[in-house]
Amino acid sequence: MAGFQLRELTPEERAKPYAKYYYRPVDPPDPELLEAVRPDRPMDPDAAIYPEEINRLLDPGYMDVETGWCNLPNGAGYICVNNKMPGVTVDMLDWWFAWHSLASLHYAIWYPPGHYAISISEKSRARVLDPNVPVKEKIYGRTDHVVEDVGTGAEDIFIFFCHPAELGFDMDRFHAPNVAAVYGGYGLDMPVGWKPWTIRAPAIMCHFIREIPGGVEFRTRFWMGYTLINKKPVFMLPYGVKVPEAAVQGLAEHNVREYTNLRNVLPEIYTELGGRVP
Amino acid sequence: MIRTIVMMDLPIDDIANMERWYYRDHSSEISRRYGPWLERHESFLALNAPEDARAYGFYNWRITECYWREMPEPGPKGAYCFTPAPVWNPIVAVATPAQPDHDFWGWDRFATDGACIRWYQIFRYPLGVRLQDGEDWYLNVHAPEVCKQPGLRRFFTYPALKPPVPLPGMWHPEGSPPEEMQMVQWDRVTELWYDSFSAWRHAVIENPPQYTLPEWATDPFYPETTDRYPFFKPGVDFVSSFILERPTDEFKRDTRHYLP
Repeated sequence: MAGFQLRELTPEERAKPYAKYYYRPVDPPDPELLEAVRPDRPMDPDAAIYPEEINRLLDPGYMDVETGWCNLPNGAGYICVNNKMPGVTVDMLDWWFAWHSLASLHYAIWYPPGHYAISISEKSRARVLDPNVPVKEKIYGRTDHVVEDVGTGAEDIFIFFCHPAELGFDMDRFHAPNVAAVYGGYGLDMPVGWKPWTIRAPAIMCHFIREIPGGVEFRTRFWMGYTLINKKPVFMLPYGVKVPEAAVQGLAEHNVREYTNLRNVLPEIYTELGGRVP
Repeated sequence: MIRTIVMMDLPIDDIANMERWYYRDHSSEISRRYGPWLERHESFLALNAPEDARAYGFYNWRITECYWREMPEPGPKGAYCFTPAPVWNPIVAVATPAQPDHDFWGWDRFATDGACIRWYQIFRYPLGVRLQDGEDWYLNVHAPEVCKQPGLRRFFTYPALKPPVPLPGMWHPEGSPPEEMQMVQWDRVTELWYDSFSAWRHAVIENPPQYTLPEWATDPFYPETTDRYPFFKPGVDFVSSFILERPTDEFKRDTRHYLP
């Protein structure tokens, strides 16, 4: 991300032993993935899947296109990315998706150029900190408010994390080797500085994790223009409205960059902090 | 059957031009082009509400309801573009089923028991609140408490239809309402009826029941909220108007031409 400036950490943040990860240079992304999400190369929409077909992710093997972006014929935005994460385990990811919600520094370490702040409700915080809630489940029902630049400038994003069943997964097939974990839900985003009636752009998000030799693969899908209501995907764009291409491509590229950096930071920080929440 | 609702607000200086456009152009175009699908096409002029009743996201001009036997397809289907409005003032648009999904209070009275004013509310749950959490509070916690308002005559509510219902017809690309007016997603439409504005004031302001606050009213995580009844930020997540029982205009029947 050209021209970004790191936020100055507060004295309390600088004193944290893990503050060093914030200042570490961001790892360059896999050139093959970057090539696959180039602005001038949208994928063939026929190779996309719709959120109603989310269970196809449970099938063995790979889809024709695992990394790319496009607009669907109905105007929605579609993103898929397959990030390989050598040295990363599901335990690490479960911990990360709990721990990162507790402080803006945690969230910023993930991808300092584009991750600015995070907050969660008092109820969500109590659940994340509750030792009786298994680490894997601390994400379910949580709403995160993040300030993030996903490619088109800083945005306020509300992410409503869900249990995989709420995303529509067939829980009879939801087991290894089909899947190791899913972190997903639905969200609303709007530019920072939004007015009350600024358009709140909806999206469904699914990070689908499979174990592979030596690590995991992170298969991401976004459907921009959809939301989830009563466990069903609902297309929310008014007639004739199309998600701007720049927003779709920007999110795809951001996804490649942020998860590249996470995979390189996560094993180390997980070991250093002993996988404890908080 | 689907009911579409448009609630409109305007500065008083625009009223002459907007009334002429609404009668002569817009309502005529809707009735003429979509009459075969429309069962009712009615409009209610807002009452001249007192100042304290305007503090609840008050919309001052019209509420128009269309009841559709079925929805015509959107898009240019053999009709011209709609004649553009002389100015674009705030509107909210929402679609609901024709009948409420919850009738909480007053159904066991008779229409002959007395006339009422209708407090017509359109709202959405605040940013950061899940629909099911908002619904759980509104329907199971809040509504039973609203029923305790002294002098409340009627109380019923409709869910907003999702996905949004595409409306027929086309605005000209250079004469469309602002996109944000079309894209705000509302969650519910509610009506509360009272004998008079004095009865409304007594029930809502002077002698309200004890209300249980929703989570969003006290947790600063939620950015646009209030801890004051009705617990939705007026003009942001909550708009309302006051109307009488009978529509001011029945456009399918009203054949008067709009001529000065």
